[in-house]
Amino acid sequence: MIKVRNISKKYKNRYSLKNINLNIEGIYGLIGPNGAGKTTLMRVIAGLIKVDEGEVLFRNSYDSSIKSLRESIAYLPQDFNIYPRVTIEECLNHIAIVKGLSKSFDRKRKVQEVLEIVNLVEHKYKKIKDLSGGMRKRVGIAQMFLTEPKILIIDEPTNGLDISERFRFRNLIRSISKDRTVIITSHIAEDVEFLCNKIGILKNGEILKEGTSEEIANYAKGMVWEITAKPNEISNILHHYTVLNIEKQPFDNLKLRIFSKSQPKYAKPVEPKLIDGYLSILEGDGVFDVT
Amino acid sequence: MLLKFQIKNMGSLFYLPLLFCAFYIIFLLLIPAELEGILFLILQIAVLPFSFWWPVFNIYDLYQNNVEEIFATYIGKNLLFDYLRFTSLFLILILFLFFITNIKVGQPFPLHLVFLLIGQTFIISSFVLLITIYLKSIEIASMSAILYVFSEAVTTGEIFPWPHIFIFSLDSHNLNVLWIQMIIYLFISAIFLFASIKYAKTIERNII
Repeated sequence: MIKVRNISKKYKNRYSLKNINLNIEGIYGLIGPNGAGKTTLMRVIAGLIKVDEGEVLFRNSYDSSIKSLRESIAYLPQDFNIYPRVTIEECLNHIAIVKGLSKSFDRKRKVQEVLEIVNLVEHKYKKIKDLSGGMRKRVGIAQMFLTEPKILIIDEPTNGLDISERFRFRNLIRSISKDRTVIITSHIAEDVEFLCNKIGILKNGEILKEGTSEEIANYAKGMVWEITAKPNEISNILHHYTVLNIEKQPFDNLKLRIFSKSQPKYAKPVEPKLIDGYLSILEGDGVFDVT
Repeated sequence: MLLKFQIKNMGSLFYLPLLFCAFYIIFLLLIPAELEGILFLILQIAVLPFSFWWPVFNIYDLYQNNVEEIFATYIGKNLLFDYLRFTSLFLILILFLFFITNIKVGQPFPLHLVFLLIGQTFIISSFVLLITIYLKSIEIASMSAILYVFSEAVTTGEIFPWPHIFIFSLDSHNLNVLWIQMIIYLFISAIFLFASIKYAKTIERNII
């Protein structure tokens, strides 16, 4: 359990984080637009940057300055792309040395162990530069487990991955999260919905809302509608409403999912998803309603 | 094993200082022995500035590939050992070139110049390492070093109001003070190195 209490951080007299309060446990997702302060907040939690006000409490005791605690936090930055000329095994072996695994035998065993966790054993002689984005992310996850981390911080885990890699990587994160606190940032609501048991929405350095996926979704209750239309009606609907999704139906019909404060003609209300709640919170009610 | 990894990771960049050493040896074979002052000058301004090359490119990934969050907690001790490893290696090269220059000239250079070369190697490498880490930019740090060396070479260390670390005339310089100069350079290098480790552990910079 990590408690973030009244954290504020200023850069050049501008708040990049303002009075942040969070209760983090399980897999926690931070979502927000670019520049919202997600990476800054992750760095604060990891003890990598100092704050102007507030504190981060780990299991009810303020000890974020203790070295062992910092070493129990593993961080995966957004673009993990180091040591392109060496093999996966050499890369992990080197990171293990840097992280303090000095005994050769222990290090080799540990590298083998983490390669198994991320299912890269058969690729260990491949050079980093020859890996796909997803495999590189898996190497990134592997390096996190070279120590025995209690807290995993993963910045934009699925950013830049193709669809199949994205699903594989999401499953990997779920499988490694057992008995650990995992904090992820993402701007893909679907990933956060799949992975996280609690979500915080960050904008302009402030937490707007915190809750489960269902709780966040509920903020859009009464604002999400479904309407069936013909293809020639689409442009008119797009002109008047924010269309979240279009699905093909039999007989040349299209089912449209619409975000609107007021009920569009012939539309029926539907249960909101996380993305609906997120949009509703982020931009304010009805902001997408262009009528 | 660590050095082998670092050489492999640097790729062809690792061989640039060695290439300049090779150029110097070719130059040494071509130039008349009577021009010993020029030979020593070329050793100082064309080869010795590369002392920063290996320590700085060893941390290339840290800032160019934005992975400082992974290493910030662990980097301190490793940075120091890597720096000492590469600087020692470079120093061996420089002293070897100094030795063969002596053979070429026939009449040995004053031994005091060894102190000068040691001091220069450490001060240049530690300063560029500090700039690289503080500004998180190998390009800016390398260009600063190249501009400094170039401007010093053009002005023979006289015009610009900054410290001049190269000796352009062996005759006009009091060589007996070179060991004191080396001690001062080593002391300043230690401060630069200490600051480098401190900044490498923190990822915030107030100026950026």
